Amino acid sequence: ALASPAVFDADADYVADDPKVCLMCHGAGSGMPADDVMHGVHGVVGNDASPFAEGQLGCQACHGPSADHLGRQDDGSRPLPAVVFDDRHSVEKRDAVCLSCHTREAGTHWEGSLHEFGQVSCTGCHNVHGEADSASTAAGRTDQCLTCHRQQRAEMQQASSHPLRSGQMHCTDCHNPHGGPGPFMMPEHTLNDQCYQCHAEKRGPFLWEHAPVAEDCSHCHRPHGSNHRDLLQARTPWLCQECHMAPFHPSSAESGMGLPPNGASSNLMAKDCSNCHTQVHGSNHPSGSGLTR
Amino acid sequence: RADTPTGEVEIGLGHLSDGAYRYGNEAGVNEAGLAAVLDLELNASADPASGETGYWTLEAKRLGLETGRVELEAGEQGRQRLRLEYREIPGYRFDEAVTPLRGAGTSTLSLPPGWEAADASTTGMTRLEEHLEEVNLWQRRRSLGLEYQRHLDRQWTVSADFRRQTLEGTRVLGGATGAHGGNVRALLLPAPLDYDTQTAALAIAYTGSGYYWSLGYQGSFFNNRAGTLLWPTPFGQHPQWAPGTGYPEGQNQLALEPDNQAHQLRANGRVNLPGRTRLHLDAALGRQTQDEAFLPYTVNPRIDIEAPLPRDSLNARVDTTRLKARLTSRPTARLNLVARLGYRDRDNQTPIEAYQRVRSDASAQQAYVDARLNRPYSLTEREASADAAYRLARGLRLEAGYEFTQTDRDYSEVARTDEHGLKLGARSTRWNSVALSLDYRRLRREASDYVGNRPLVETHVPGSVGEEDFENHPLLRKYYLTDRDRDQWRLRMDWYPSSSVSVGSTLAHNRDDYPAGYLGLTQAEMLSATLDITYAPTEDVRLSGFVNRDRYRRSQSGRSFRGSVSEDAWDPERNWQTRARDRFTVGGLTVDWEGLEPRLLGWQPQGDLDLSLSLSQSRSTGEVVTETGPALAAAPLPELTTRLDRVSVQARYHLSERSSLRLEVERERYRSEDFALDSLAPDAHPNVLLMGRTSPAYRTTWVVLGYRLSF
Repeated sequence: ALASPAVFDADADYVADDPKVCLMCHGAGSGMPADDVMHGVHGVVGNDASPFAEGQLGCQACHGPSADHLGRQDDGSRPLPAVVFDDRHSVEKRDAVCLSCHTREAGTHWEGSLHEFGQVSCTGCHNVHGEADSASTAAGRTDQCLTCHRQQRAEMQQASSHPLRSGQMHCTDCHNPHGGPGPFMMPEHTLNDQCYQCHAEKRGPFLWEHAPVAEDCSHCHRPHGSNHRDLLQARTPWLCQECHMAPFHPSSAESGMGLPPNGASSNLMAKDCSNCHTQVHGSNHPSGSGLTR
Repeated sequence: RADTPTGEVEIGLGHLSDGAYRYGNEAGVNEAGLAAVLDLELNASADPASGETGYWTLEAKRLGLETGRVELEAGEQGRQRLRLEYREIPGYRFDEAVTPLRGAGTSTLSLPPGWEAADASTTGMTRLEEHLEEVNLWQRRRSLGLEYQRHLDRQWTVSADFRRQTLEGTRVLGGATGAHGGNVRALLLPAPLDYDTQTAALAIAYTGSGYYWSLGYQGSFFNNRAGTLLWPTPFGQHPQWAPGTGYPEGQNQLALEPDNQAHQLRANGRVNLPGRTRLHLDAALGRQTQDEAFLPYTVNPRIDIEAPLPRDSLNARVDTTRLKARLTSRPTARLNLVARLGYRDRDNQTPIEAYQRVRSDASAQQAYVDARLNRPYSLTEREASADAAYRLARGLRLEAGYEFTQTDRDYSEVARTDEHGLKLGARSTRWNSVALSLDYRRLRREASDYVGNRPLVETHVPGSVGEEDFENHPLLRKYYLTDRDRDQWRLRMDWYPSSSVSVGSTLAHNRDDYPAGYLGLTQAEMLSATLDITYAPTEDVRLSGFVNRDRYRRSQSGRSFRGSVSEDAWDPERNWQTRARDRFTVGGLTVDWEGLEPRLLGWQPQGDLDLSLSLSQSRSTGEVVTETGPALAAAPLPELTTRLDRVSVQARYHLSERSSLRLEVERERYRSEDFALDSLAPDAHPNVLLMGRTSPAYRTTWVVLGYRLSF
């Protein structure tokens, strides 16, 4: 069985009859109920890693040695348990308790991750007390993410977006909130490797590669939402013209002169550049160096 | 062993008032009429105090609709877990597109009997209108995943993950055929979409005292079941085309995405070092391959092929190396340090050959001097960064960081770019009711010599391109390769005036500046502001709302020039500037009220009522303004707009402790305007046969009446 986590003061005293004594004040119907932890995964006594398994320390497995909490201070208040999971104790102290058991779940990328460095605590997302942890469910994870990531929530509402607002995709399909080797806490090493998880057809390698495609999908695409088709960074043909300025049509000044009744520019109408250059992610046709085939 | 399952099942009958094709992307239903819906949630687990650890859960949502999802999980707490997941993601694009082509969505398209092409233009398609047929453009992604994880003991863990994704549908692809004087003929094709991707991931991990390591393998196998597209030329023969390439003989062939494979071996680990310091490593060696048999240079038998293909297939191979190392340290309780090193290498080992193309299945094969050499791009990226955070007294935290990225590319205008960055941040929780954070990041990218014609020279047969020749204008600087200054600000505030009210706001600004005096992107800017309010006066009542405004701006410069008039390229009177601005306003309001005791004309039913009201509104406008020098002409472009309004009311009446009725009414209205689609008939362009699509616009109401039983 696990011993008391090393994060606590070794000299402090534990309450002897945990959780019975704790529940005298924190039982169901009290003003500060905490008994619901017994009904969730932390209460499964058959798991010998559970705080409430035989030989474990019950509530104090997480809250630390709390005998002092039974007494009173001069002002009449009770001293805090060794750790409480709110702002009265530091994020580092709180997370150390969780990580003393959940190293495997947090994974090897948690420390130094954007969330860890930004002091997003374990309990900032996870509900330890209670039968269910919403952050462990697919829909709950997205809701949880969007409480902080407001700009991404707005981008999801834009005309072109991944199906996040309908719940058919989740933030965790591309990001690991516990960190990853890739940018933006992605579990894959590079952005492209992450995109290929669902868009393997764009991986190639192709006979005729499009250099920025092989390098970084975000050169042309915005992942969370865009006003332009296919999550593009900007409207085509101008996005294409930011890199292609060859004689004739690639360098043309596109304006209302290319729309009826002024005129008809194939660079503006329908799929504009893609009316012909249809294989922008790469072509495997021996005659397809212009990415038209 | 798990106890008798508990959970709930809800059977619903829904009705959609008006057919709304794109509404189905989210709702899973888009045809007017009735639809049945099933939601199911089952859980079975032993009493936590019983000593048993087994459990299983089954969750099924929106079964019966095209957005169905099923998740099944079973396991033993702390020991093993098996998870099965199935998802459907529809994508409805257009249902009113038209095409004269038959066989939409298959690999072989044909023209209808009686097709007429008087000349090589759309106006010559004299019987176009009578041959047009409607075609739906849609796609459906299905994903089935199976994950298994087992903790063999406190140290060893093994896991396996198998996944299969399919993507089917009919998409629109452009198809280019013959050209004359640079004017290509093209048409939009209702092309097939039939992908099948299977992935497998296996891993073993060991957690020791003060260290951890894992080894894993990941394989991905992509199969395109529709790898080619054969389509006829609907344009009449043009004198400049190769004989027999116009209607009725002309055929064209597209190579769709080839089958490919990717394999990766991965190792990662962590070791505790003295002084509260840890070293983390994650390394991956991979190989991506593709060896699909080549299509012929042309599918038209009347075009003579004098030089055969240099090889039957590409035998493409990219070797990848990824390495991330991270050192984290907390020398004191107040100081947090992170240092990182990264290495990414894409080593493209694909053989290079000269390919003597047949342009657009309608020209004579090119001579050897005009052949193109394929460019197997390789890339090496090295990263180093460090961050420090120091917690001052009284809830103030300061952060600083430095980052550096060096990228080497081949066959590129720029051989190397170096980017240095500086980050500063401050977070305050000094006041009980207010949390503030401010972040600033500045990046400066410097590129080595920009050789604009290097790709042109290196993709042509040696000696066939002069040193001064160029394709892209010499003054062009591609935005992802050139010098760049990037500034990013972010201010975030959260205010908790009382225990029931919270207010949050974020302001973010990004700006990229590119070198002046060149062509291409010159500036890009983003400004975003959000405001959130939550009010929860009681446990049963919650009101939340948000509003967001985003503005994106991009400015670019160009010069319109003709290859046949050499002076054009150096004539500043042919310059043009385009400014694009996109604006978004998104707002939402949600009220949830549980446990209401309804009263109706003096009659008060026994059950409680839960009410939920949701309003959301999304607006976007896009403006593109092009100004030109005196040698060119410009006219305003119509504004691009989208408007989405959604109102949803949901009421759940609890008939008893175990049963309830749900009534949901959702009204959605969507309108958009896009000059690339609207009011353009299929033959609006003389050289491009369009599909007559129009910007989506709909209004519809979805009503669901459901009965839920809990057990």
